[in-house]
Amino acid sequence: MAQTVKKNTFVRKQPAMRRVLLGLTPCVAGAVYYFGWRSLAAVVFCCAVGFLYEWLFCRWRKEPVSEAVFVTAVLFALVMPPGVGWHVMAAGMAFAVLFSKEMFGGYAKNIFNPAIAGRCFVYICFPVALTGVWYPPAQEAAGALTRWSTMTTADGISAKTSATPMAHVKAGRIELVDSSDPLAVSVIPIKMSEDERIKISRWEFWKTLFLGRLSGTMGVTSAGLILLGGIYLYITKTASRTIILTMVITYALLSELFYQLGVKPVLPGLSAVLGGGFLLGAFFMATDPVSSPRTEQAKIAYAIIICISTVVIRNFSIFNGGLMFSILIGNMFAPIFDYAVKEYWPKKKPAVVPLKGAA
Amino acid sequence: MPTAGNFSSEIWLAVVTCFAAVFTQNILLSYFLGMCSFVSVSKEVKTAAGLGLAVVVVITATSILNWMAYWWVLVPLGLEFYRFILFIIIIAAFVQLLEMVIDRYSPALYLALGIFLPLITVNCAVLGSVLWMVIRNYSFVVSVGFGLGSGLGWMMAIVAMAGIRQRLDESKIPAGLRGPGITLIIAGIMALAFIGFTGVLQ
Repeated sequence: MAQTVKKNTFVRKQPAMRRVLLGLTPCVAGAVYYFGWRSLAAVVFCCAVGFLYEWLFCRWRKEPVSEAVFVTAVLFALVMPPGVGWHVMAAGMAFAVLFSKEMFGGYAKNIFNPAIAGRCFVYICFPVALTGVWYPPAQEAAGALTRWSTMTTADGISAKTSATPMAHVKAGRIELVDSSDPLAVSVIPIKMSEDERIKISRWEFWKTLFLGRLSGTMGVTSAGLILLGGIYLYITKTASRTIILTMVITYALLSELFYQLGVKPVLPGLSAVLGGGFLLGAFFMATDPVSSPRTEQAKIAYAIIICISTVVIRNFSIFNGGLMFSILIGNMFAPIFDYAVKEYWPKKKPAVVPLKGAA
Repeated sequence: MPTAGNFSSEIWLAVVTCFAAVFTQNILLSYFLGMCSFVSVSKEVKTAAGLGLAVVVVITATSILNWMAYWWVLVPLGLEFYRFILFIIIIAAFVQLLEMVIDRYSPALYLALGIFLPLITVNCAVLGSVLWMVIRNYSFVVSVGFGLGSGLGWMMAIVAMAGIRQRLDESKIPAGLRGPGITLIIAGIMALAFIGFTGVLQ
């Protein structure tokens, strides 16, 4: 078979997917800078196993492999903690690609976002690996560029910590105060004991979340890098603007409202939006055109449902990964919202957005 | 008889129990009760919503009836071990009544639901929530809240599932998984999503 023909039938070209991958490169670079070259290896590994699983099914269906599988793999790798086992990633990608995508008929037929479904699956199946073992980011100016991973310090001592800053906030160990408070510290300590309490000024907390030199999953510690890629998607209209705007605004307002009412672990609006993987979820995951609703009205309802359950799960549930469960819940209700809009929205027919590409 | 506090705290507890039964302890997605009609009647949104509504009415009403029968008749007579038989008889009688009402006022829904309307009698979700109400010693007001929540949770799950199944492209799904197979996989992923609410409203 000629080279050109083979190229066209092997991998389906999807410009939208390439733009998403381009948008994710700052996050991948950030992962390498903060957590070492093992992060890049993890991304490549997830892409390879994801491609393998997809290829097995596509060969049987006689279809080319879609580039969407690489978006799924990169997103999945970025929300893994640094230092997670390779078998965990392989199992997660298997669930993501096989059970939430290929079983439904492959690309553009899936109901649930594969990366999110895979993440939830490993979150439940490997709770210690996903929630109990964290490694701090490299503290030096050159980052972890000279190292394979940050799992050990330069002296070879294990650098394991037990919780991320968001978990400390939820447990009440970190309290946000005004910068005028004399007790406020400017840096979140890497290791905190169970009964330690610190106060941090709001401004320093925002700065840390924006720059991202804190422990957390590989790709989502820095809100700045996510925004860099996210704004690119927003400008090129690769991701639905309705969903992004509704999600960010609703989540900020809802968190701020609860904070003003004095509900305890809730963070004020801006910190909540910058914290954890919220921006990655809002820009890259919830906007997946396949698993999100097709009609504009339904998109607003979908984004609001996700935000409400994120606020509930992040602050009151025993789990920290609020956004991933919420996006899965949003995906679950997306078809019925579309149905309701198509059946019951008054007067003129709603504009159905054509399917462009998917994560 | 379960002791009841003052009325306003009872109402508050009932509302909390109702929300918990919908989200954190969804009778279908957390306990997998009532799967048979969930799998077979979720092909179309309208039918699913009709059945869901019927289940909401049946669970709420039978919670009330069975609570009275249990605490006012069986417990004073010391015949608690008859509760399974009595609960089933009450549920069956009530469903029969509901069937006649639906047949009279909405023949289309009656035909669409077909055999599954009388089968609500043996819908595990109905008996399950009634038994829980007894085992967990709920007071009367809380029982009503719990019954309503269980029904609404079941209805929410079946309506969402019907929406998903209408969007599915059956021709693309591997042949062995079409129909019930893919429905069970979707139900599993839905349950995965609802695990997230663990620990809320306990």
